[in-house]
Amino acid sequence: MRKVAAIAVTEFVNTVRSRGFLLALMLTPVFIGASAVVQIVIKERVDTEDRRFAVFDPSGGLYPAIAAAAEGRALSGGARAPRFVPERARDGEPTAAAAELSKRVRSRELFAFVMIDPGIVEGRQGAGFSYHTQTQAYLDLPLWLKGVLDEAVRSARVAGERIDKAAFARATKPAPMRRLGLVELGPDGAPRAAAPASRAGDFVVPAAAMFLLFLLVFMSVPMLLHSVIEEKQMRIWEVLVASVSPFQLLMGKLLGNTLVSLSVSFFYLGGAVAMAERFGVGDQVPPQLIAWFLVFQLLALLIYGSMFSAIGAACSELRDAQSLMTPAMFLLIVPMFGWVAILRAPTGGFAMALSLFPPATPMLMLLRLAIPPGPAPWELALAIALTVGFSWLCVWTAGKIFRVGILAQGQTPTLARLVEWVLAK
Amino acid sequence: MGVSDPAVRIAGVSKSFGTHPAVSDLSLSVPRGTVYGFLGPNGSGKTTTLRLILHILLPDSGSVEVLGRHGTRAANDRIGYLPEERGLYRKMEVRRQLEYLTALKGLPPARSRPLIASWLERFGLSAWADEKVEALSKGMCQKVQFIAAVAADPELVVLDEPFSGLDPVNQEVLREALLELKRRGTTVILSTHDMAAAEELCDTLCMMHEGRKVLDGTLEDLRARHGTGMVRVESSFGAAGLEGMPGVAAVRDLGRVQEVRLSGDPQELLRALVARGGVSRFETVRPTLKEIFLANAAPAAKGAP
Repeated sequence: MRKVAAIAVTEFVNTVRSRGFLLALMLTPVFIGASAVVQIVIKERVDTEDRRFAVFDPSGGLYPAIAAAAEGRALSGGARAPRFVPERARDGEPTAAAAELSKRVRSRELFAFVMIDPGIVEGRQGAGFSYHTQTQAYLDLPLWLKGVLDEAVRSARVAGERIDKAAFARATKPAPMRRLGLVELGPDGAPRAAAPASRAGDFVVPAAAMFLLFLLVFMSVPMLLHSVIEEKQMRIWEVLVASVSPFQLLMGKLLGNTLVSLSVSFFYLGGAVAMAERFGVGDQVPPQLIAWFLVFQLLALLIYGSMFSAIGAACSELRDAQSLMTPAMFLLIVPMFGWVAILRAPTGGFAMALSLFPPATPMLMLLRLAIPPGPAPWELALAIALTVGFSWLCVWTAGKIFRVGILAQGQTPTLARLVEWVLAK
Repeated sequence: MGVSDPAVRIAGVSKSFGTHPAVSDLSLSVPRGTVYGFLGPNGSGKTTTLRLILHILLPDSGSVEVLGRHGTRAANDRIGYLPEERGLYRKMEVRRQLEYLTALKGLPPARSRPLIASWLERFGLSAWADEKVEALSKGMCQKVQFIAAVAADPELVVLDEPFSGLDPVNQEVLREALLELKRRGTTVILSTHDMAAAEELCDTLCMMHEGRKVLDGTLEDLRARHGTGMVRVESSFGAAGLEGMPGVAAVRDLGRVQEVRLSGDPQELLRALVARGGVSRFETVRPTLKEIFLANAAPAAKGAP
């Protein structure tokens, strides 16, 4: 055990003293923060071009409402949002008018145009309006138009039916909805008022916890692969395995890598908690979530650390490792395929099944734990049992590959050869 | 384990890689406190044998006993190893690296520090102790690696081609260090294809060829066994006069002197030469290791496919 500790400490010290590690430690949050700022700036600064659009309204009854709404929006929207600038299209035969307006959109004179069918106010069967543009991905304008035209058509119909406008407004006033959590009982057994739903608690904290764990694993395990390959390339391995068994070497490296990753956690988790406190959502990051984070981080590092170490041991050069890394990388990103669905239905069958798939368990079970009320205790116990078992299997398998691979030079082994190494006595 | 027990005992060991036999049915014994040399050309199985001794490789058959431990790595902490393929962590300081490598031999830094300092001093590397390895020359790196092999004060030191790549000055420093180890009672196993160095340093030798042991014994044994078949003669009648004389198998004309390979008793040839007259010199030749090796390995090489 002393030798394993010596390897772990040396791995840890070598890594944390390296310039690359310190740069990554400092720059990763800077890059993430900077990319968020850049996205906000781009959204606010780049997309300010006026959206000019034409309205083909043969009746002429709805255009004034659109023009008024656009004017009101321009006055209240500020300078950062693009202005919506309507114009009334010339009346005429609709098909010819649409062709003419399409030509103007192609020449970038207009962004879009709207064709309002006759009889829309009267509720004629099939009558509506159509929105034409070359930029269908831009949804702000059509969604705004839909709201404005719905309201204009509704108002016109109310006026036509001679209904009192105030009475109509009262009758159709939407019922406000409050999004709240469940009612909890206080220490005296009396029910307490349910707390309002929090976007931080329901979305930001679970997603941030999962992505932080992903980031930590993604930062750590490739370092192991590099370290093993470096020892092979620098011909250090033979001195090492003359002093320690390949399994001791693997365990020392895994432990050292875990220490490095936990140190990074200390900074990043500390920073995340401080940020949560700063924005008044500190209560959304309970201490037990941090404890579970560290447990799942440890398990994820054992799983992926042993996989990447074995790949490093099997290869003599970094470029040879690329092909073997593909399946391991695929397992690592499995949680990315399912996290949105789990966020929407954290207690559903899909969430349960995928979070019990051991390579994905650390990240997805953490995600589910961060969403109240969290998984059932039996699910958590089963997930821990499966993941500990899978971690052990990964370390054992990696130890077998490491034992043969660390001595091998030359051609990269095939997957079939790796299986042979694992099954060898 | 008594002091008379060998440091290493290998019995009937074979090791193959795929279909290629690297070592075949090897048996040998390395006496304690001696310098034992493995000789042989590249690919003869020397490095594989050293890895078997260190249990880096396990034999397909046969047994390996090292410092009284049979078939396990239990004795590895008492073995220092300098592999043929040298390597050090380039970004690590010399002293820290040596402390790490000796810690892997079970020696805590508090105990290894004075030993490392002493070896660095001996090799003139004290001023470089806190420099990163990447700042060192190749020769310095080799000396650091040698220190890594011996700093934990092992009972057995295994050195694979220790002189390769060293300049004559550093070769001499290393030779002195090896003799010092021997004086302290350390067993040294030396693998080399430098016959002259082996002849100078080794008490006992094992010659290998194509994975098989072709000879072993002390230098004197080997010479005694293989040195009686050759004499040098200086005479007035030269090479032509020696042809056909009793016991002469072949004559190699070196000019004034002829080297005669004998097929019989040298005394019989001497008597014949004295009877003929004109002989000014007659001496038995002590063959060099190279000659002994070539005489034993060459037939196998010729017979090889």
